[in-house]
Amino acid sequence: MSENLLELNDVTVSFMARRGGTKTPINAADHVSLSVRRGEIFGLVGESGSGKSTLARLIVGLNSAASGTVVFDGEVLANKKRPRALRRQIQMVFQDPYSSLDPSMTVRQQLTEILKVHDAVSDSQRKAHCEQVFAQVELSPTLLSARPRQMSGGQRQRVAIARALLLSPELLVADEPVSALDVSIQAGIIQLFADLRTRLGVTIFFIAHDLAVVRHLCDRVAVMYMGKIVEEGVTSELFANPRHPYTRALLDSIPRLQPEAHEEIVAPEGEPPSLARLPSGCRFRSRCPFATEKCALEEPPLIDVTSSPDGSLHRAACHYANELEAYVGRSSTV
Amino acid sequence: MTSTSSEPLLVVEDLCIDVTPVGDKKVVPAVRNVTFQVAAGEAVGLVGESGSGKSLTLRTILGLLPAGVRATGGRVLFEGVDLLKAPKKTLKNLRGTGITMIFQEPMTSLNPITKVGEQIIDAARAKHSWSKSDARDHALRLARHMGVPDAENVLSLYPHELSGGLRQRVMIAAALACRPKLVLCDEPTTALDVTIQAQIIRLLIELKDEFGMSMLYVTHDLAVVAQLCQRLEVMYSGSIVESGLVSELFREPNHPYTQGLVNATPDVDAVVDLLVGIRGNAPTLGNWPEGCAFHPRCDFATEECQSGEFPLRDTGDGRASACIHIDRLHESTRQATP
Repeated sequence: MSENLLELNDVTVSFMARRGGTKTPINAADHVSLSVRRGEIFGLVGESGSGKSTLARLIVGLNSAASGTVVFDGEVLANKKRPRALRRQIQMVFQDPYSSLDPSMTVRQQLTEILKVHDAVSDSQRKAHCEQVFAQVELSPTLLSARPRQMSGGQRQRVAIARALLLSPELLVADEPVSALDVSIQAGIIQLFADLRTRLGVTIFFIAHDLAVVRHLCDRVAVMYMGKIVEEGVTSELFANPRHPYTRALLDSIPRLQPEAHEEIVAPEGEPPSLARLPSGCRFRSRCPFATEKCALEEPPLIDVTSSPDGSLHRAACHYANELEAYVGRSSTV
Repeated sequence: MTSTSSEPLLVVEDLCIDVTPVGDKKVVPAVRNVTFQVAAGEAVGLVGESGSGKSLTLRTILGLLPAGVRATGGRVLFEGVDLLKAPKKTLKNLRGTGITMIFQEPMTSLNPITKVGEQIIDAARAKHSWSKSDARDHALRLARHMGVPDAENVLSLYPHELSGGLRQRVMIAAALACRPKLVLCDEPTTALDVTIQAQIIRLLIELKDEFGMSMLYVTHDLAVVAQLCQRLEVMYSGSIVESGLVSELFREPNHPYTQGLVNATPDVDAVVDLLVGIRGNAPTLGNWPEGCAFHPRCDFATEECQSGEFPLRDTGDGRASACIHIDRLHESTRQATP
């Protein structure tokens, strides 16, 4: 049994973008490599268009890779038409439970249908199995007979998680599962993911745009920008010592609750470029305060960060990753 | 901060809004006895989660309530004029020059088949007797002011050709084309990426200081309010439950709901052992509990909280809270943080 449950090796996912009648291929994910260890919660952060959902859909088999391989549990996965037994092992939780659940069926009907299709448990055990999974997501079994519209947003997202857990997957791919929720409800769902990992040992690939959520939940984090991973590392190390200017820009952009930070909001210049018209060299250079001529000429590879104090793996795709000054951040209260 | 001038720019007093759900005859209250003020030059945040009534309150001010929603009581005074009773013409004249609104989704509030430059020009010319070329110059200046790069080119594009951040800048330009005194903001940065959100927040702070506009900012994001606003009104189930200065309110909330929101917000600068949400769910419209609407989810609730009225009461320092157990709330937070 390998240590890594999931590996993406140099994967590229392309789409055809139509621009004024002509079609150009764009790489929503561009030569991405990453590995997710068994039992960990791996966070993937990035802004819209960074390619994080593209990767999620690739992992569950909803997108195909133009090149590169997806390796799950030591086995190279086919792009599409994966065997049913394998599909059971990788399950997805979507952002909006209202559109990913069937409005006309009760929750019990939806869950039972999945159990039937996969022939997962015997007929007599279905009811008990549904109730057991409901208990795992801390929902009352009485809600099994409810329809999605009769539930609150938080309850619906718990149902969506229950649906994903139904077949006891090894890997849960969660694409922005808390973004649509109110903050008072969001906290409970974040905690639920943490508990599920502890209780069931399930590995979680967690996608978010909210760095605070990722910092709280994930063991390791990768930051994506325009189809590339620009930085990855152990969560505590990456947040304390970000080595890529984009990661720093993201951290600086987050509004803080502390009123001391009131006037200090820092924003990077400009907007993300279009994937069809990327700048040469480093993709972030058009917005980067540290960019030099070298950044226009050479695309920086993901290199090891030498200053990582605890020796944990920390990589950043910046020519100057090891030369940037120590990150101070905005909050002095930590 | 009390208002410096004698009369605040906007006074909302005992505002009540009812909703009649589609295909239903039953009338359901959505906002109850909401009272607050915005002074000239002041930015006030109106914070709450979905269904709290914050957006309806905002929309009432300009008479933009959707069908089936009606203001049934109270007053909305803008420079002393009650907008709830004012004729349509008064409201029409006020829009743009007096009060303007910035929406969450610029794609739906900009006209998709008109070039964005035309839309700013139209907004400007609606109130000024400018020639087209004067208005065009004004639009260009304004767009540059909003940080629109390559403004001349951008203004000749259609909304769908712009990025989300640029669309939001263009909409702000159109909204501010007539130098309004009060800007109503309905979650204008919620749909944006965090780096673009930071740019828009910075822009709004600059514009507010430069033009001396007042701002009423509706959002679910406490941290955005912390950046932008001086004062804050927290809404829950159609009522304001706490109000006060941003700088003090987050340091020591005077209402368990505010405390719960602060605790539930993950902090990017520090990790806590356990992220605590607020238990249960916010009640839906028409199902508000008796007494304090928050009591079924509140750790401090007693029998007293289950019935009666819970109006905002002054707690000193320009702050107010609807909670009757502030002492117990403070005691518990003091114990939690020695």
